[in-house]
Amino acid sequence: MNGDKTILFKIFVVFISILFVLRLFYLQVYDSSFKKLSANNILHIETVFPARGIILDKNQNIVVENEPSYDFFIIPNQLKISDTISFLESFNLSLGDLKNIIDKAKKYSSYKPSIFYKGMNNYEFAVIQNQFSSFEGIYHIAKPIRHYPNPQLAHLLGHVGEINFNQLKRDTSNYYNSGDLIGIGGIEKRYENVLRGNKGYELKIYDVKGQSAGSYNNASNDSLVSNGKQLHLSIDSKLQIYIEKLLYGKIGSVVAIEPSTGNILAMASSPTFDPNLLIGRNYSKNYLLLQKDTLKPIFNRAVMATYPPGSMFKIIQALIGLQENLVNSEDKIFVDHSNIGDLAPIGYYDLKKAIVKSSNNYFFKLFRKMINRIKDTNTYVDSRLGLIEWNNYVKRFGLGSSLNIDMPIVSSGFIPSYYYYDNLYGPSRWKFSNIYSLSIGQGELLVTPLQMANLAAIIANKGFFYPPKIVSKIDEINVPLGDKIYTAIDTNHYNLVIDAMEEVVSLGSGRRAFMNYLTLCGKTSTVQNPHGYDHSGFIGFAPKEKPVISISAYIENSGQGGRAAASIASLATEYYINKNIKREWLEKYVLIGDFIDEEDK
Amino acid sequence: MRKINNNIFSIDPLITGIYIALISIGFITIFSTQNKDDILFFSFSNEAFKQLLWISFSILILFSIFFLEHRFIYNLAVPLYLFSIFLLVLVLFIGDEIASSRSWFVLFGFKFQPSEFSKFTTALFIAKIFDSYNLNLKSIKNLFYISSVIILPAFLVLVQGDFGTASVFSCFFLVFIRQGMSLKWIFFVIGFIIIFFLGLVFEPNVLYIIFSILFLISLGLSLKKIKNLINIFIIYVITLFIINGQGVVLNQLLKPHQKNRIESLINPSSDPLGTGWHITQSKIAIGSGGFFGKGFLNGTQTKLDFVPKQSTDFIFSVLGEEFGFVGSFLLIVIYSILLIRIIQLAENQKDIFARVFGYCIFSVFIFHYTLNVAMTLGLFPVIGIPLPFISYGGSSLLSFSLLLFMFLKLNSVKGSLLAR
Repeated sequence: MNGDKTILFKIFVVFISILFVLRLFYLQVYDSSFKKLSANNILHIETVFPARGIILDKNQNIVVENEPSYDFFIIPNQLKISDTISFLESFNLSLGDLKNIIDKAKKYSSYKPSIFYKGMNNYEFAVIQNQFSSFEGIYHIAKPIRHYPNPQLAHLLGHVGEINFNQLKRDTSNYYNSGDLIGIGGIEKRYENVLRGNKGYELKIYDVKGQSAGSYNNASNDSLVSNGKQLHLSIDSKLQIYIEKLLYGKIGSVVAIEPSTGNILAMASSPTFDPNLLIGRNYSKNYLLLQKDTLKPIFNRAVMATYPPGSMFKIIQALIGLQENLVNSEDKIFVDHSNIGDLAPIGYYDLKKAIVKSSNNYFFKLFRKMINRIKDTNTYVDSRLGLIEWNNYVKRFGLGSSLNIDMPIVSSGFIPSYYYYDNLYGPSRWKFSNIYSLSIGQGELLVTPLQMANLAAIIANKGFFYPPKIVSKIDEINVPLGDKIYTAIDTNHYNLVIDAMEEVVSLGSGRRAFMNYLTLCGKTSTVQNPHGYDHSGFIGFAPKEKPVISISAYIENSGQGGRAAASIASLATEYYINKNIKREWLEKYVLIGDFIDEEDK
Repeated sequence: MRKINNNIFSIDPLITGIYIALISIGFITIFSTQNKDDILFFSFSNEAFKQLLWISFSILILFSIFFLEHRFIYNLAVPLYLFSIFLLVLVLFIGDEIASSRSWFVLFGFKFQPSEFSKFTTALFIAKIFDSYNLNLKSIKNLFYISSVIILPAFLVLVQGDFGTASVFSCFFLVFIRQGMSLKWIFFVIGFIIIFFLGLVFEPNVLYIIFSILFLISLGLSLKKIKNLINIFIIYVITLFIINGQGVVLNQLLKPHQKNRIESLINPSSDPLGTGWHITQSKIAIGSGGFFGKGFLNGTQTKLDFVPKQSTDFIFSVLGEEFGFVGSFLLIVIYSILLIRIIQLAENQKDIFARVFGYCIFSVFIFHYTLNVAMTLGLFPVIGIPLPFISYGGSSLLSFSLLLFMFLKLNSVKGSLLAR
């Protein structure tokens, strides 16, 4: 029996060996395809970089496109340069540089390609292309890079740059290699997986002179490249460029939203920069310069800067007051200047007049009614209960939230809660007199320009909003609207504030924004600022009956809301709806940008 | 009757000749992989030079084996096995991690891998057990006991992250077959492995349906015997477990590179830059060698670093490129003679220890030879095990040499069986 097994083992050995010999015969003698890759032929793996998806605006205008850029590689043991001077000139190198490059490459490998020149643009490439035949052992690959035909939207788009060490370490998909491009910030980052496509790999045969001799194995081992998908933004780039023009020389931001969809129509932050600065060879140099700039041009003020909302917040206070039956449209009360500084005259006010005149003392009284409902005899406990209720209302307006916008980094602002004041003053150590600044949108409240544009959209819609979004289509597939979000205010209460906002523009602090051919409803804010002149703020929407645009503008250190912010928002609204500007005087006023007068100083 | 045979000429000349031929071929091939302009021969960065030192060291050790009292080998079996287990545990704590396996001790620039050493000690220990107890491997209980001797070191090596070396321990089941283990176990294991691989190709639900149908058919065929019914049911349950657990094994137990190796064998383009590329390059290197080869030091594919690990796991492709079909054929013939000769000698042993030990080294060698060459020829997934006596590596050379010559020593004294 064991003898049988001995034979079995011997047969097994012979069987394996015959199998190997047959396989060897097949590979080495029968199949000639391996010999065609003769001694002098070398197989390279070549990466085919996908073209990153292009980005269009809502009217199919190209916002971001690609152009080729070239990386150059050296293979030291194949290197043969017949005309060294022309080589050095082509790549703008010194002889010492060349020696360094060769030494460094040899250290890595004499037989494998090392990169030595990155990001040559199309034009430079065309100039030196005909000299390639005299350089042996030099290879190049084309890599698409970004190009911005009409420089705009620098902040919203983000940019594309080489993946850094940390990102590479965190990448669990194993897709990226060192040197690969990746979206940094903005839409480029948020939609990286859609935009980038997938790299392809080709096995290519090269002869010893570095001339391509075709694909290996009829390209059947290659994996195909797939290009990135097209993004269609909801941005109207004409409007965007116009707004960027208006903002030139100012510090601030403008956000415009289509109320019926939540689509972002424009999002500008100033100062801005030409996104073409952040591509190709000059990326690092320019990025550093932008980063060092004291005006922080890289900072996207539209979604990341936070300011107290100022008087525009009175609209929210008014709506809460109506909803809670603390006030109705007919009530009139006498208002003096005893509680808080005020520019509105002393006299009898109803709610609408209080909004139009922006009466601080009126809203002081209304807010006191909200906070102190006498639900508890202890005034501290009472204030706390009142604040909790107020806080719930305010948050339903999308404040204190990122609004789920499709951008990677946005600020949520800040809506103070009882918890915050408990920490600040101690539990039961604070009451209305500690928090009354909230009544007029000052104090600890912080909002972003995006949130304020969204507030304008809520009012335009009479009580709901869609989460704002920037990308409306990926290739030809629509991105669905987000879920409709309702505030806690009944629809009918909005009519009063909308009428008031119409009057703000026709008769009140926003008169500069008035157009007799287009009903703009708005509210100005003059935001107190300890670091200099007041910030100028405005929110609005138009036309009143069937709003198509809601807008917010914040211009830092430019004094009253009725000047810089109202003018810019009004011009942008007119431009979007009527496609032209009738009020050239106002446009000129904005472009000159001298908003501060003696009164402010 | 007591006769101690220390005559070197009593060592089997055929195997000794093959041994010398193989390490020479190995050295020449390693020399070729290291023949680059920037590496000096007499330096510790030259693997050929280091291999030469290891060869000298191994031969020194081999001579000392000849003068060893052969009883010493019997007595060494247990302590050496325990010592190797100790080293395998120790290396987990103080070992160095090289290529994602924590399985090396590094001393003065020389790396030592206790897992290579434990192949040898496990072989000795298995021989000792069969020698001391008359194990009947028809009994499942005995089979379980003897398997644990293999599974313990294999498990420790697996924990180090060295899947290749751990798999080598499975070769000892060949010894068990020789010692009376039923072949059906091997068929089961191979069957289950095939099911595992089927899981890579088909959806689990398809496999569930196929095997459920097969289960019902076999139930119907063996209705008369209760025992068969139970066995079929157990096999069916295990099959379901394998189909179900296949994803878990692939995604959680195996490291990503091991998963890629398995997947790229089924679908080479699934990993174009990794394993698929290695196999392609290895095949091109061997294929471009042609009938007579490109000649010593003239290999271009391997010389240009396109073949990975060319001095260790992929050394056969260097040989194939430079010495062609003729050279590769010769090596396979030499190996076949070596393996068959080991079987012959093992069968001639009257002593159980020597016979089992002989089969152990046969198993270790055929496992390495088959899987290594099959991998290089693109017939098997990439698995990190060396080609004995050819691949660069001191621990493996020493371990394989010890295995072979301890057996030759035992063989040389078989006449004096009663001496112990």
